[in-house]
Amino acid sequence: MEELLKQLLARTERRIAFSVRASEWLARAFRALQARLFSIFLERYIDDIFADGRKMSFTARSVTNANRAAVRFQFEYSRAATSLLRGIAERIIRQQDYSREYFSLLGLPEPEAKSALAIVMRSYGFDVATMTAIPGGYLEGVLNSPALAQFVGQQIREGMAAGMGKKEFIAKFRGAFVNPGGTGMLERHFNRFSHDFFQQFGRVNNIILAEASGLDHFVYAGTAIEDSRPFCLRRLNRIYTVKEAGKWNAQEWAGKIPDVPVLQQLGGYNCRHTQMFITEEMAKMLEQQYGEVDGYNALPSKKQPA
Amino acid sequence: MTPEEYAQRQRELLDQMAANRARECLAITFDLYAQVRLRINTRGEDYTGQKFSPYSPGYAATRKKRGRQVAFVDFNFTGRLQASIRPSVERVTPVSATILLTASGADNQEKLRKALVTPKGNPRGNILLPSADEINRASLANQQRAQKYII
Repeated sequence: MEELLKQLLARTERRIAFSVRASEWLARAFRALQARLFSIFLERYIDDIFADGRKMSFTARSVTNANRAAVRFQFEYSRAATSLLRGIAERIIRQQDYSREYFSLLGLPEPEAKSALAIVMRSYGFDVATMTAIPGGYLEGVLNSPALAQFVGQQIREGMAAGMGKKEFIAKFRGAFVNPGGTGMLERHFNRFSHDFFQQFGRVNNIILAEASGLDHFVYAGTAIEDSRPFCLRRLNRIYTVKEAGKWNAQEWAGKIPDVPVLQQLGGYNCRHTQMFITEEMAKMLEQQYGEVDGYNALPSKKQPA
Repeated sequence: MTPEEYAQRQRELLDQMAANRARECLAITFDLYAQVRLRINTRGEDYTGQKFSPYSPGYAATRKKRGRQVAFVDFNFTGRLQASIRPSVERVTPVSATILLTASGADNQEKLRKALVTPKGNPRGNILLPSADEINRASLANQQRAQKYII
């Protein structure tokens, strides 16, 4: 028994140590990318913005230069972020190796962890086989979204409106973009993506484990917040069959992620809820307390967070 | 059924039980943890039925500002911690299976560790522990499923 505990501890610690290293790497990579982009901005674009004088102002030339700077800056970011994405995928794949052992203990024929990864990555528009973003997919959209160009454009417009000098503008831009000591612009930009990604990844793992254990009932688990979607509120802490959840695929609601099974996405983008699989026997026992299987909550007339 | 057929059937069922051990143990863990989640998410109680020590006034204010409930402690802000907790089969032998139920990711592990010792006066403890009722229900469900291994 003592030997078994030692093995469990060692394995868990190896897994945790890898997670720590991976998250530290990601945080460092984002910060380095932010710092690099900030340097590029200072080196290549700042002089164009001040080409008309020592103070920022709304002239045709400065506005043209500012727009060009914003678009080019977006391009630099897309190029850099694509290489970062590959590093993220490599680490996720390696992390999965640590979990693969228990799938073989279950006697599953294929390394199911690998297919879990492939399913989630594909739903986000990343092809694990080629380690590239799928054209037209979600990730390509994130990398090419105009958010960064809009952010830079907005900073420049605010600088022009205030008639800022070079030093003052650089300090303002650095504060907003790099945000020393806080969360920088790129970290914020990727926040939703990483939240959704890890939520979905966890849910796919649950689905695979549940299939392996022969479970086809689940609790739509979580808590309600002020802006919880009606889709989630109707189902929260109720028990469903996988068959019933299959019918939800045909429904449409604000926030639904296109082409992703509802059992995997639940309420869609930014959804905080999880499917907790249970046995049929347990589902029957919980019916009295949490309502009949495949039933729905009535929507509250007015959301009132306690 | 002749005695030989009976013995043969017994052997088959025992083999089946051994082959399904990991899956059955996973199912028990799923049943236990789902009940723990429901209890925490709907009532904010620990395994003894006591309410978890309330949020500090500062954190409660932050939660309220971000649209989260503060009536009881639900260990749920972004949903990441609860979503990261899942069972994994650590070891299977001919007579036992060991299932590990914990959070994945260093940040989520840290949240679980923190609950063990905070707040100082009345720590929330091991939030993954099931109550006696929850254990009984999971056990009963398991007994019902185990009928298939009995002739």
